[in-house]
Amino acid sequence: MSKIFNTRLYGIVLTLLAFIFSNAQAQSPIEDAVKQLTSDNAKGYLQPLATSFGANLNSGMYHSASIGEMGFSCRFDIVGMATSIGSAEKKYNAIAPLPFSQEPVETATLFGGLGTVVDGPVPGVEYQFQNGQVKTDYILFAAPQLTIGDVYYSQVVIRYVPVPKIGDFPKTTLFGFGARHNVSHYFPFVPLDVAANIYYQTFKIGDLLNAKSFSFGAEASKSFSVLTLYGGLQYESSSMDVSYEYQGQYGPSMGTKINLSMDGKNNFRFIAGANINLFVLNLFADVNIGSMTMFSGGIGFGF
Amino acid sequence: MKKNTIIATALFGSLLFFIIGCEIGTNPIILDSSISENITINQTTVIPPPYEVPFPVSPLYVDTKTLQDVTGGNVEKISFYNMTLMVDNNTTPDTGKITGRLMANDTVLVSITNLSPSVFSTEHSIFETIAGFHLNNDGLGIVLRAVKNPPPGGLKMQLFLGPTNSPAHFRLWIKVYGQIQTKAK
Repeated sequence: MSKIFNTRLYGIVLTLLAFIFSNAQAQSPIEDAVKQLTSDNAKGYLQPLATSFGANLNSGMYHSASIGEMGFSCRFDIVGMATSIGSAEKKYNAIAPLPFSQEPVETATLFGGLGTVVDGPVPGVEYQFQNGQVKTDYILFAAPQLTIGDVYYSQVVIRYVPVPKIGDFPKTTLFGFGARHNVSHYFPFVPLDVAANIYYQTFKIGDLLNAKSFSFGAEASKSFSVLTLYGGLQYESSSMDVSYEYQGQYGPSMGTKINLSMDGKNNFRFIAGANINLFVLNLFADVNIGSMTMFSGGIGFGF
Repeated sequence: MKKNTIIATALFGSLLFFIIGCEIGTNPIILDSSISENITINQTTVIPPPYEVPFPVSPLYVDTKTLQDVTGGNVEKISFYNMTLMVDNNTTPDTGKITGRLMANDTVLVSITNLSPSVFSTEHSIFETIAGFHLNNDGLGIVLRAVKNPPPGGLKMQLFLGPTNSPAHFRLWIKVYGQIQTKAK
């Protein structure tokens, strides 16, 4: 019973975390596909995943700019995030191995369709780039979040989940820390609540994956009874480091460990959302517009 | 069991990572594969024209089916994309030049005219343009077909060396590259 439970748990998590490259009990198609790629091609193939994952990490940090001068506030949220995967995220430029032309060819990313076929030096000889392996319109993510304040119009925001090693599944840790400060109290004539914020997060899976994100920005909100409308502007950056063992036939020797570092492409976003306060229960949702379209929403408990 | 339940509950209750509404592995995975065989040439005397010497004496049979081993048998499609030649253990005199034919199923695949074996001291594709090196499309067609439909006994290969202007001692590596597409889920 325990073994079956572990296997199912592992299978679910492995499917969920499709970007893990490990000596897993069950090889994922994504892992098999990426291991065939040289580092340059793998970067392009995985870039949309790095960008969408970073965009998700940087979402859902706040739902109101109202922060009191002094008092106790505590709110626990389960935040869900979604980043859309559009046509731009489904293709990249790759280079075929010799003796094929070394001109870049547009082909499928991880989220794309079939890989492009290029003709070889003579008829009948051709090379096909790796096919996409994930068919989806959105990349989803979720995280718990604790917001604590209020001290001199300031709050801290924490995301922290340590997952111990479970069988072959490596230790996984999400850690995020941020701060928000209400600035509109300096300007009483301003009819809105306005706050500034800064956040930093890391997400690690053993030695295999290490993602980081950083953001800062400003948010504004206005409450109408139980409804709070909020919006903001945010500058952000993210990066994802992954490792895999090369299994292709050209480029480095088979078995070479390749370490990739990819920066998320989304650096700026505009946020607009709403929060419904039902005493200790809050429901919220927002849309984020940047180089990709992102959504966040969820439920919170607290005051 | 109880500990695992707690961990699982904590995992899914506090941290949910999922890609839902998506399909994973819907397209075949493309795996690059290769097989490599070698022919040892130990010709202690000059080969005058018009003579040729076969190496190996009994033809080499390349089992192209082994290209599929990367998939464990889950094959949707196989294709050829490259073939290379490389020479090592070369003690042929620096001024040594060789002429010869590499045969695939008794058809000329490549012909070499007055080349130094050291030209192939690094791996070269048969599609490269090298003076004195010529690819025969009929022989190439045989290799392509042998990759797509592996013959039961393997692909017959043999080098006919001659004439030469010196003794020739080297090992010729022949490497065939293919792409194997696995069946989509």
